Amino acid sequence: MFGYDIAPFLPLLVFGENNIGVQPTEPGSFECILDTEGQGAGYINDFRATLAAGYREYISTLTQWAHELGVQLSVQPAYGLPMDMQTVIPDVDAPECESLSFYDSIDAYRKFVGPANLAGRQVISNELGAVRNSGFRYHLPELLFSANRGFAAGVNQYVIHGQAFSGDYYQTTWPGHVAFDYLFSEPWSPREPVWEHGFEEILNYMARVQHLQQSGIPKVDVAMYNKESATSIKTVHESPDIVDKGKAFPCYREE
Amino acid sequence: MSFVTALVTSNRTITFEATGSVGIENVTYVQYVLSADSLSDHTAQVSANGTIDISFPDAGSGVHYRMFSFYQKHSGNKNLVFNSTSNGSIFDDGSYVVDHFDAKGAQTIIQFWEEHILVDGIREQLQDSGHYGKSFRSDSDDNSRVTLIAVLWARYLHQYSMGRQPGDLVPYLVVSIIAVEV
Repeated sequence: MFGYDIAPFLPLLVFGENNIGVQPTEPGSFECILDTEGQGAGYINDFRATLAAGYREYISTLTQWAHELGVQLSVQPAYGLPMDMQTVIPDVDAPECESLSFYDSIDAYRKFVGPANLAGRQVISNELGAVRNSGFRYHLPELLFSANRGFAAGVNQYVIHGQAFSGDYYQTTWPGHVAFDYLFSEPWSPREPVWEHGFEEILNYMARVQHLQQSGIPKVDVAMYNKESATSIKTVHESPDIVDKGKAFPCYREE
Repeated sequence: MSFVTALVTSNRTITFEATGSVGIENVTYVQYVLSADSLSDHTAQVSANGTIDISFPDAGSGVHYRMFSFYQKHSGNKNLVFNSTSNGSIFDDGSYVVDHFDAKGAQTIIQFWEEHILVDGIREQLQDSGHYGKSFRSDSDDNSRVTLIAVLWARYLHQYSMGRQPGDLVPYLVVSIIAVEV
């Protein structure tokens, strides 16, 4: 891809090139940088771009097969790994982000929605409502807040985390099967009091907004250029100045 | 897989705060500044039994040479670690993470689905009612599980970087880093 051998530059890749989403405290025991102006960042960027190229091949193979099956492919692409998710999002039929590792950040969601809009993706999905230490403690207003954060950025489909088996489960008493040992919200099921008191109203609201967002045409007033070789949660534009002036903006990356 | 040497012109210890699974932790590491001009790939000189005869000129005070040996090994990451002695079906040994960085990894998933999941009428039901095939990003053959690794690698990365077509290598997923100070 880049026409040079990566081998001499492997020492530059020993640090922070693992599962950066879940290993933020384990980047490696040592790091090597070069004594040049760029400190070797170019080689790391090339490595990450190569990873992304291979990953896109993986995605396109799955996509082709899904289409042959008569369905589309929905994937949470690349974020959490040392790649630029913005280069992969356009390749996915229904790309999906999440409230958990995007921290309900409208700014972070814009990094996701921008490329999806540019690629004409009708459905921009989000895995909603997984909050650490919140099993059986996640309230509907919080779910609503989280959903609205995504809607504000252009997310238009939610896959809610998650639905628990409602029947009896072997070797358990009430509440039966609970995934993640209660660590993540929410094991939604008829066992939850809100199942028949409020949940339906919330879901119907989300359904209506989803329908609106998916059938409308996303319109953008300001586009912000943003490029990271590995997607981070770093804020791109924090100030509400653009929104206050009534303008909409997502984030794009160079083609 | 690679043997590289470099002159270290300076180093320092860095500590930063990061949020891990148990909360905020201090992470400490050593940062080496390597002389770009000194970066040398000696892989070709490594003998078949993994030894190398190499010497370095005198580095001078305050600097030193470092040798980096890179090995690749099959990570064998599974979606769930458990003990089992049954081996009646493909499901008994759990699921492994496939290579996410080329078509062959996807093919492995596809083959598994075709042979073991889209059978007994499931395929038809999916086509009738399904809309999305779902794949979480760190997918094993079964379903999402996040994997812990040393350095992300992929079988064809070396070839990709050199602009060649991928050959048929033993698949590998994790690179182990061993550094020896001279």
